[in-house]
Amino acid sequence: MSNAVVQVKNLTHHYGDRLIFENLNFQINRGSIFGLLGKNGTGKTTTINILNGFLEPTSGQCLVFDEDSHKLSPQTKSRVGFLIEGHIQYSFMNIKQIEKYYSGFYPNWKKEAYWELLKKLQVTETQKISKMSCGQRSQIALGLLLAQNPDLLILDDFSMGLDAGYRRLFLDYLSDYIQAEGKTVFITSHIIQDLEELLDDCVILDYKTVLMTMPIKKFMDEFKHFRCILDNPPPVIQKDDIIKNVEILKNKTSFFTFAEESVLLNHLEKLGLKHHGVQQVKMSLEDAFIGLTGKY
Amino acid sequence: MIKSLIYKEWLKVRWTLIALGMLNLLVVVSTCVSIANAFGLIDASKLYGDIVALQNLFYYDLLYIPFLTGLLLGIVQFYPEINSSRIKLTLHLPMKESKALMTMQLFGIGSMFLIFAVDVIILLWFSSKYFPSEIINGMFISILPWLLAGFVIYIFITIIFVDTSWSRRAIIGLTGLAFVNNYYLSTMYGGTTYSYSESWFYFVIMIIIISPLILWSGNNYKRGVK
Amino acid sequence: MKNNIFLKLILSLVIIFIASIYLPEIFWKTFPQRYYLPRIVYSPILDDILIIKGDFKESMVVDLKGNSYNTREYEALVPQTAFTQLLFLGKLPDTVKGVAFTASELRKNLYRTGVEPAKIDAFKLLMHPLIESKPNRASLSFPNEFFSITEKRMKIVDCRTNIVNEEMSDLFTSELMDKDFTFPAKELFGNPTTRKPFDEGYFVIDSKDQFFHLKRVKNKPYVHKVKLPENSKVVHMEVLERDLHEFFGYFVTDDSKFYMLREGDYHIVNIPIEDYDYKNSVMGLNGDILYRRVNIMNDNKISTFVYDRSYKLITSYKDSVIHKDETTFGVTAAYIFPFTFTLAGSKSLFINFDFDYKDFRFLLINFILVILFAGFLKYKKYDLSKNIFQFLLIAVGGIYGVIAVSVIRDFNQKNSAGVK
Repeated sequence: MSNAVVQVKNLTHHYGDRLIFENLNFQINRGSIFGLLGKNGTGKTTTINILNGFLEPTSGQCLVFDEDSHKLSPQTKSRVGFLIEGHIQYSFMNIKQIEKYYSGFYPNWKKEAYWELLKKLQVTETQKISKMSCGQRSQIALGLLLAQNPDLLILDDFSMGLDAGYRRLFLDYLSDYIQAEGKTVFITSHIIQDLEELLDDCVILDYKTVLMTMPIKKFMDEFKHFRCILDNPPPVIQKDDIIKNVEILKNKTSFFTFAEESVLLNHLEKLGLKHHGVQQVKMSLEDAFIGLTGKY
Repeated sequence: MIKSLIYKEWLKVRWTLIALGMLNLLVVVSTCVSIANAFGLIDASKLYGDIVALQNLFYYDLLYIPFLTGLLLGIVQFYPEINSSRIKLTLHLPMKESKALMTMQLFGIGSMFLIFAVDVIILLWFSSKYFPSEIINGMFISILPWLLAGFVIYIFITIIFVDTSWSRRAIIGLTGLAFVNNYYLSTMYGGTTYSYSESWFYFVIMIIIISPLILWSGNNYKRGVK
Repeated sequence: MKNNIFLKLILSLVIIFIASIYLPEIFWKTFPQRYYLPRIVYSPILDDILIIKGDFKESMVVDLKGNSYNTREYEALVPQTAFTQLLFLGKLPDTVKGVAFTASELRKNLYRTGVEPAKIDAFKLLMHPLIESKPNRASLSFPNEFFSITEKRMKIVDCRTNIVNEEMSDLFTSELMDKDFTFPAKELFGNPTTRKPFDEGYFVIDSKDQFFHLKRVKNKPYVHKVKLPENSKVVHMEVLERDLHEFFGYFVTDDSKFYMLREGDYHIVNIPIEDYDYKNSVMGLNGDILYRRVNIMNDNKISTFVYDRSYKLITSYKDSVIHKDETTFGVTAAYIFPFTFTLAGSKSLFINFDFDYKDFRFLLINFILVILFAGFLKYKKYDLSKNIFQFLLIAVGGIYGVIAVSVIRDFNQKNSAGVK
C-alpha cells in the first residue's frame, strides 16, 4: 500500500458551463492533517463531495485508499469518517438511539469514545438531537466519528456555527484522535484561526484557481508581508510572479510575496516604484491566508 | 446492518405509521359498521340486488385511503433524508448504496403491506358473514387496485425525493400521477364500471418493475447530475 | 453501476408507456371530434326512407328525392313514432296502412334497444337474483335467493343468512342436469331488476355452448334447452321482457349473426343484416307498430335496415361517415403519435392493455425529431456516437421518446459510475 491516503489528479469540475476549479492536484499522506482552505464559494464542498463519491467530476481522478472515490467499496467506506457541513445527523433520534444505530454498521465500534464525549454535555440520554444547540450537535457528530474510529476523517467546515468554546473542544478531541497512529484528517474551513497549530499541509483555493499547495510550515516560513511607503503610488499595481498580492491602505502599501526581501525590492525598482521605510510584518496563518486570497 | 437501517426507518416513521394505521383501521371499521347497519335497516335482498346490479360496493370510503397512506409515508420517510442532504449519511454507510436504498424502500412497502393486509383481512372477514364467496372475490378485485395505487405513489415519491433535479422531478411526478391514475380506471368514466378482473396481475407486476427506479435516482444523486 | 442501462431502459419504457396512454387522450379531449350520424326513419305515408341530418340544435329532414321537410311536416310523415305530438295537435290518423292507431297500442309497440361491444365484452355479475316469475302479487319483488352456477352445481344462497339453501340448490341442479346441462356455465344473460313488467329469468350458455332458458316458477325450476342454428355459438343475448310479448329477446352469435327468439315456442328468427361485427359494431334495434329497424354503426359507415313486423326486409340505407382518424386532427394525431395504449377502451369493460398503431406515418415526425436531437447534441458539443440509446428512444418512441430522453439526459457521459 502506498503512503498516499488521498490522491487528487488533475481534478476539474464544472456546474453546467460554470467552472468551479481546474486541474486541482494534491496528495494526502498517511498520518497527516490536510487543510483545504478557501473563501466561500471556491469549491471546498464540491471537492469534499467528489472525495466522498457524491459528485462525479467533469474530468480528472480522485483516489481514496487507492479506490476511485466514486466507486468506494463498503470496506473502504468503513475506514472513512465523514462530517457533513453543519454537523448534520438524524435529528429525529435521541443520543442513545443514534449510538445504537451506527454501532450496527462498524464492527470495531468504540462506544466509550462516544459516551466519554457526551458526558461533557448537559444532556440526558433520551434527549432528541433536534432539541439540541448547534454546539451540542457538533459534539454528537464528533463522538460518532470517534467511535467509528476511521483511518481517514473528512470534516466539511467543522467550525460552521460553533462558538469559540465548542470549536476549541472539537479541536482538542481531534488532536487527541490524531495522536493515534496512522490517522489521517482532511479539513475544509473558511475560518483559519484555529488551524495553524493543527495542519500539516494545505491547499488554498480561489475562484476557479488553485492559489497554492504546500506544507503549512513552508507556507508560513516563505510567505512574507512587506510594508512600505511609495513615493508616487500608481492607481493600480499588477500582480505577478513575485507580487502575489498588494494592498494599499492610506499612504502605506503592503506587498505579499514568496520572494526574499532583496528580490522584491529589486522587482519594485524595475517597475519604477520608488519607496522607503520597508519593514516586514509578522503574520498569523489567517493573516497569510487573507494576504494571499485578498479580502474580497 | 440491514437491521440497523430498519431501526432508523422505524424511529423516523413510527408515529406516522401508527397514525396511518389508525386511519386505515378507522375507515375499515366504519365500513364494517355501515355494512352491519345496512343489514339491520334495509332488506337484505335489496342490498344484494344493489351489489349485483349496480356494482354498488360498500367500500368506497377506502378509495383514496391507500393513496394517502403511500403519499404521507413517502414524504415522512424521505423528506428528512433529502433535507440538508442527510441521505449522504446513508450512502456513506459501509454497505452497498443500492442495498441501503432498496432496504429503505422495501421497509416502506413492507409497512404499507402490513397495514393494507390488515385492511383486507378485516373487511373480507367481516363481509364474509354477509356475502357468499363470489361477492367477496368481486369485492377484493375492486379494492385491490386502490391498494396497489398506494404502493405506486409511495414508490414514485421515493424516486422523486432522491433525485436531484427539479425539472426531472416535475416530469417524473407527472408520470407518477398518470401512472397512479391507471389504478383508478374502474371508477373513472362517469358511472361506467370497468373491471380489473382480467388484468390485475399486470398491475401488480408494474409495481415490481418501477420499484428499482429509486436506484436510478440514487445514481443521479451520487453523480451529482443536475 | 452495473444495471445502469437496465434502469434507464425501465424508466424510458415507463415514461413512453404512460405518455402513449395520456398524450393521445389529452389530444382528443382538447380537440374533440363531435360528429352526428344521420338518423334513418321510415315513413308509411311516403313509403320511403327519411334522413335526419345535423345535431339536435339544428336538424334537417330530407328524403331520398332531395325534398326537405320542417318539423311539423316530418311529424305528420311518421305518425307511428311521433304520435304523442300528433295526438296533442289532434292530427293522429285513425288507421295507417290498415292498422288502427290508438295511443296505447302505439306506445306498447314502441321500443328501442341495442347492443355494443362493451356490453358483450363485460364482466359477469357475481350473483344473480332468482326472481319468482309467477309471484302472488301484482309486481315483481326482489327475492331472498341469489344464485351462481359453479363448477358442479347451481348454488342458491339465502341473502338474509348467507347460507346455501341446499334443498333448492339440489332441486335446480338436478333439473338442469335432467335437461342435459353441463356445468359450469360459460355465461348468463338476464335483467336482474324488478323494474320490468314480468320476468323471464335467465338464458344460460353451458360449458358445451348449449343454450338454456332458466327461470323460477312457483319456487320450482323451469329449464328449457333452446335449439340453436347449426354450428353457431351465442356470444350475447339481450332479454327484452316487454309487454309486447313478442320475443324473449335477441341474440348475437360468434359469426356476427343476429336472431330473435320468439316467446312461447322458442322459434328462432334470423334477422337479415350486413356489415355487423359484434366485436366492433354498435347495433341499435327500434320497433314501432308498423316497422322494425336495425342500425349498425361502424367506424366509417352506418347501415340501416327496415323490416316489417315479421322481419321481412323492406329497404336498406347505407352511408359513409368521416371517421375521426380521417379528420385534420386525426391525420395530425397519426403523424405525432407513433402508437397508443388504451387501458379502458370503448369496446370492452375489461381494463386491458390495447396496443394500437395506425400506420407508419409517425416515422416522418420521428425522423425530424431525431434530426433535431442530433442538432441539439451538436450545439451542446456532445458526441453523437455516444448517445445511441437516446437516438433509439426517439426513433422508436417519437414524441414519447423525447420526454423519456428529457428525463434520462445523461448525454455523452464517458465514465458513468454510480450506485453499486
